Amino acid sequence: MEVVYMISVRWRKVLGDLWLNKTRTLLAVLAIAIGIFGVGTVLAGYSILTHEINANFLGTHPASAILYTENADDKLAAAVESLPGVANAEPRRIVTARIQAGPNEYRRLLLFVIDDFNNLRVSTFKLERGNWPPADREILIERSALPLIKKEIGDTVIIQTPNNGQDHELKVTGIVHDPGQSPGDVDNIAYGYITLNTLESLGETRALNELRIVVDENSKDVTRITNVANQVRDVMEKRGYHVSHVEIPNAGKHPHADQMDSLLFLLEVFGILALILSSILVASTVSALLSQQIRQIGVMKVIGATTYQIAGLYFGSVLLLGVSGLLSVFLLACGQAGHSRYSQRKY
Amino acid sequence: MNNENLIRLTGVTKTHEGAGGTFHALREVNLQVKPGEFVAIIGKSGSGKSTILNMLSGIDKPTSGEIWIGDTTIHNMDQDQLAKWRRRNVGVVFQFFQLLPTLTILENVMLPMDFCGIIPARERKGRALRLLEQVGISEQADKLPALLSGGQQQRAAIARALANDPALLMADEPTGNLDSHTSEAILQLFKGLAASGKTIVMVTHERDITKWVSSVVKLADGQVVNGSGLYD
Repeated sequence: MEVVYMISVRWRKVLGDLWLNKTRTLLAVLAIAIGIFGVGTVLAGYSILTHEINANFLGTHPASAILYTENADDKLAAAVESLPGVANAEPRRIVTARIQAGPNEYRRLLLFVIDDFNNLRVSTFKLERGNWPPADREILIERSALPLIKKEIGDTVIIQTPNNGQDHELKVTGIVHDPGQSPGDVDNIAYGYITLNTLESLGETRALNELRIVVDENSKDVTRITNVANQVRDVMEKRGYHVSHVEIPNAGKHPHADQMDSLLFLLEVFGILALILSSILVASTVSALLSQQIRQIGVMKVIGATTYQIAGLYFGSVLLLGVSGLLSVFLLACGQAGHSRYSQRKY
Repeated sequence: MNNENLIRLTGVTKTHEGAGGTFHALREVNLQVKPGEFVAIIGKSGSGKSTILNMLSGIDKPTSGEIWIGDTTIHNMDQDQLAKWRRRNVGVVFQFFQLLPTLTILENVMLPMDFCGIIPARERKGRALRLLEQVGISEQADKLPALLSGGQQQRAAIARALANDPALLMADEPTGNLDSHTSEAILQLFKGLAASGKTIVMVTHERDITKWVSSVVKLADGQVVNGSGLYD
């Protein structure tokens, strides 16, 4: 009985040659995989860092300008919101405090004091789990700070505020995600969210000292933001509020945007380097393969192969290396995807 | 058309331009070979033996003169036409066998059928096995060439040359790398093939070649010296 070969004889030769030089074949596949992986990582990095994180960050309605005064309140906010060019205004206060992370071990804590948790309009954040809003003597913690302070919902944290430096106990009742902050575990800083009543109980004066505003359009246009902010300051001063200074945060940019740019640049360089190096390696592998086979190519021509058939064989063999590299990088990427998802959560 | 001769060379000259001036590999060679003939081409190295063989198998082209194989003139074909002509009409056997090392003996014999597509795919394996049987090494079919002796490898190479059933076999010192006993077996094989109708042109250094072949062409300095006298 005659059996038709599943793979034609000439392709068996290609496979046989690749198998004969296993090390070299493996090296070429590896080189292709590394090159693709490098470029793939750069592209993925770009798409995560430029698009997703920005979208996440801009979704918090970051403040276009912050006006520092003595006692901002809802009445002022309402008045400012009615001004042309202002979309939202909200009074806030940030207190730099300390939080106990272990015996005699304290970390920096930024306490965000919020008048009305149910009406967040500027620099918003979301509850991940637990209760909302925090009651008096309760605190919400930003999730990236959890590994730092080693506390969970239901635990009591000890906090010192600058005014009297005494220990105060607050109960953690919720975990929030605030994409507007740089990751706490990276910057070694914790973020907490409390009410005005809680602030008072910590020995601080009961007052919000910032008015955060968001402009209604062109939120990245610094000139326009400055104009609107100056107008707001004039109105505030007319109403008797003293504005000590006006801060315009880096318009529309995440607090870690510069670090991200450097990271992106490094990624880019390494990705391109990996691609170039792997291309050189593949090119030299292929040329080694060809020069080793000059005699065999001659023999194949004599026994009837056309130039196209022979070119097809060697193209096919390079294609096979490429597809193998692609497949192995695909497997690698599946593993990497899990890790990326974790890293992305931090921002 | 004179169809009595399968091969006709008329006034074939081949020159190479080199550093030392023009070198004449062949000068005005005339040669006729009838179908079923077993022709030996002899002569010292550099006398033009291999050049003639390369002309006949369409690997090389003459500078001037005509080469007829049957009704076809091959001296004016281009590379592609020659490749297509060669695969149907000529089988080549080399001194160093030149089997592809990563294919089994059977696959080596099937390879020309695969390239040429004349033999239908489902008939190739059977045909290759029959050819290996014909040259006496069917039991080696699934081995790689490196595991075979020189004589066995040359038999496999002959089977490969016969793969597409060409009328013409070209052999370039097919026994040049074999011991005398094995050489005789190979020459016997060629003689049998000639008897079955193949036309064989063989470049050789073998002594006493006359008992195997039907005619001998002696070359010296690119010219045919005579058609029969040997080693004079």
